Amino acid sequence: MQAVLQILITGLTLGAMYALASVGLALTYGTMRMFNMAHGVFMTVGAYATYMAGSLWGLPLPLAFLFGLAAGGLIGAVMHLLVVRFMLDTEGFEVNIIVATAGVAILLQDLLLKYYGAYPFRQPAQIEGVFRIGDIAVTYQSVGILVLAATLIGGIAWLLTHTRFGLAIRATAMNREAALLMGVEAGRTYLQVLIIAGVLAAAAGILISSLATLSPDMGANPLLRAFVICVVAGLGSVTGAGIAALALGLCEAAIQYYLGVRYGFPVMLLLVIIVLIWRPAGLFGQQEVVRS
Amino acid sequence: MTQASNGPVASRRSFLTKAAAGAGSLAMLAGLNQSVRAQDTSPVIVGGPLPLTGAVAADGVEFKRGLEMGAEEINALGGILGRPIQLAFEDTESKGDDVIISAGQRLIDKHNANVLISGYNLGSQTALQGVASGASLIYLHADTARAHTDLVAKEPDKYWSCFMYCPSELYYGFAYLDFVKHLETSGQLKLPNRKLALITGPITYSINIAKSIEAKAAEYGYEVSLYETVQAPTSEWGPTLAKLRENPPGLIVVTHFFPQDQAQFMIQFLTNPTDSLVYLQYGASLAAFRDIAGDASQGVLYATNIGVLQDEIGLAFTKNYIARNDQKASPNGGGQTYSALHLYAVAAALAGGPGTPYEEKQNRKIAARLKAMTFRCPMGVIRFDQATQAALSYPVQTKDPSLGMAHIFSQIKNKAENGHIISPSPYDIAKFEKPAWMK
Amino acid sequence: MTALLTVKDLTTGYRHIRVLHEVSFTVEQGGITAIIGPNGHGKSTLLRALSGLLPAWSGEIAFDGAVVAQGAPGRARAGLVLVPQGDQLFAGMTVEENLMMGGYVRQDMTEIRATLAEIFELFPRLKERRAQRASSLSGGERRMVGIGRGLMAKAKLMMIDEPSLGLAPLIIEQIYQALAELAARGQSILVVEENPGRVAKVATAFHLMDGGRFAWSGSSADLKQSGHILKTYLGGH
Repeated sequence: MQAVLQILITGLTLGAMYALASVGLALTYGTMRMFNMAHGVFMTVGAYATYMAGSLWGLPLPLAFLFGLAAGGLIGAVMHLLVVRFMLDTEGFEVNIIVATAGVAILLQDLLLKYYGAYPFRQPAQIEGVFRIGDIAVTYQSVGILVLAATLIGGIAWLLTHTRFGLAIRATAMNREAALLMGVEAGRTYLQVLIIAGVLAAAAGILISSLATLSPDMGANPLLRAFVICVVAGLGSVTGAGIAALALGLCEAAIQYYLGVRYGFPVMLLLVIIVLIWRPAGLFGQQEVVRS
Repeated sequence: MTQASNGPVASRRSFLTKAAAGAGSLAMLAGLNQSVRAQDTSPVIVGGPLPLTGAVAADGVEFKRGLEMGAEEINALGGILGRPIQLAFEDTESKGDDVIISAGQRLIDKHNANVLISGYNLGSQTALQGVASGASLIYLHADTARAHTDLVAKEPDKYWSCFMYCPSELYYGFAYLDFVKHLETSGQLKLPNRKLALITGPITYSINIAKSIEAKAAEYGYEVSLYETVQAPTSEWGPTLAKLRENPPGLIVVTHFFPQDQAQFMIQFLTNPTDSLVYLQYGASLAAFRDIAGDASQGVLYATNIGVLQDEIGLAFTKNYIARNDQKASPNGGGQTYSALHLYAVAAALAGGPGTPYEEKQNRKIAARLKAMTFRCPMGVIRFDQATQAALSYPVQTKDPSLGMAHIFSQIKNKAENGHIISPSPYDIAKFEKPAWMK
Repeated sequence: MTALLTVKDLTTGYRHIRVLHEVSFTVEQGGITAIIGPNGHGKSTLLRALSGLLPAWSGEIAFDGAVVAQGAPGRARAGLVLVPQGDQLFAGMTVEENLMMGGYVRQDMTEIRATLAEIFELFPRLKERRAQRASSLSGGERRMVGIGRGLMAKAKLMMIDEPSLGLAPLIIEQIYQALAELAARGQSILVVEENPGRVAKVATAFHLMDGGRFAWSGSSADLKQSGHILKTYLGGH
């Protein structure tokens, strides 16, 4: 019982972070058919911005957190305006954008390294203390991560379903040409999407670094997981990504406990392969329909 | 009592004073520099293939700082026989042999390095030996790797230029068990049971240490109740802690050595601690560990077989190092390359000057000086085992503290300070205290 | 009468293949205008070019007294709205969300709600299915959503690409009844159809497209007299 509870807590914490990391990536792919290789470094930017605001400037925690989110959104916007915008609608976009965003990622990571060095700074976004459920101690930090992830993802889901601009984003994702015909400016929608993805990635980065530390390459590992999650969920499926993230988080925690920590990621990948053999388009993805 | 095994107290002060007097590497170098009038004033390129980014970048950064501080001091004295030291770095990215080899090769081909000096790198820990021996170049490192001793002992003619200025990780196993047994028999520690939990990581160093403890545990009367391998990095320790809590061991040993992961381990462990003595391999000796773990660092026990001593020389170095860098700087990291650079400078000066890549004759002279030296530095004594070209360990390989590098056990007493050395004598400055979470 | 849409020497195509050759015509305010002709001769291309999805290579398009904006969103805002071939609904959205997307170019929520009510009156089926996903609708229902979505934009000129495509005769009849009703209320409509069968009964002006050019243009009266011309092009209708 105790173990199950511990797995649940660890799994949900992991899952919540994975979800934050994946949802933005799924949204970007879903709307723009763009694999954003810089999504991981967006996480890093958010984490460092919060560190800078909280530890170096001494801003209160909520402000530092918001500053981190803003930095993530800003970097998404800047990348759209300086890079992505010019590549949209070009031939071979889906491949070229992978290369281009990977370049942006390397550049940003190098800049962070130059500016901050590689010292593993402590993320100031921490909530001290624990409470107990039976014999299990649960940190407020874990609860905070769950609550923040749920709030942010819920908030974005609400925006996507209940606002004019959210509707436009979903419309563009589902049928870009029809959205254009409805008067949706794709360029502006893409900008909004990259800002949202940047904000979500930043939140993921801040929370992940609060459980580990800052480092310029901290985004690489979560990006890999986010990709895996998006593929399992079905490329571009936003809700699917959220559900798959939680499922994989729980799965990983259970594997770590029952089989050993070192098997966590490899077994997870094995499950992914099985899922993809069984459903090549992912759990929530639609099969590619050949159009005439 | 305890002192019996650690040597008489009375002789300790005099021993330390003598040791300090013998540490005049700067004076020796200054003397050598004065005796020659430099004809060649071109810089001596010291190449640092260091993990400046990636998982162990915290150490890599310190290795770089240590070389910089050493170079400044040596250059202030006139360099090596009048030739100033110039540093060149290539990033090994905390990655495997392919990246390490190309970094080392670039230092030779592009920078024309006269010597390669690193702290440690990951990978197989035999990569740079190949690069350096291929160019007949002196290579000094602190990989703490049995792989090095095996390599050099097997092919001494090939690897004559490669030196490991610390002992191999094998001794961690005995040293830890010896030390804990000693705490128990001397009544300083009462364990609730004989169970020992081993948590190791994916890197050879961590696995070798865990294996060596596992192999000997029974001899010392301990039973390995958990052997867990974690990934690197690991920030979520929940499943591992759940296993520890289900079957609480008297001893917890974490040989996975990343300081940030160890810090998270302590933070999460202390939310619901078991009555266990916690020993963390290496990582806890770095300032980054205390910085991240904060209060959760207090009471932690760690060992390092290359750490700055807390004596006259060590403390002076620590003070200068922190003043030169910042409060978060870790002298245990920087002290390694700092010491190695001084060692090389003296050896090269004694041999008549540094060698260039492929200049086998001159580099062999330097290697001969290195093999013959007993060199006192902030980390203690560097004296190379002739067969393996690795520094000898005190007290495991030699019972004479002036002839081996101390295998230090420290305990963190305060999150703002490095751990205090509690063993071995005569370098200990504090006593073991039962950690606050233990019953 | 003022022309709502004036097209002059419009030439365009895909990549290097020219599809339209200097097409010129006007659409008057009110009523239904039909462009007919065999498939693959540029009817849909013309609508795509007018909607802004396909850039013009040369020529001029004036709409509602002004030169049109570049790009589809700008033209939708100006009231030049295309209901594309095959509906192109937002499959994952509900019927109501699809319709609301049609009103994207408008701001006033009360007016938008009023138009929605009108559409539900015109197509009562859609009101029943308002919360259903578009992907679960029948072909006829989809067409209704497609047309309704166009109406939500308060189009000054609604262009519909093949409203009868793929539908059963009974449904085609329903659709055209609705279009006739809209036209009666003053809605200007431009329809493209492969064969003039059903549209001939409701349209007031006709253009026959062949090989990227208008081969024949005239009123419904003209059409009756020129049946032989149509036969040549359309093969026996």
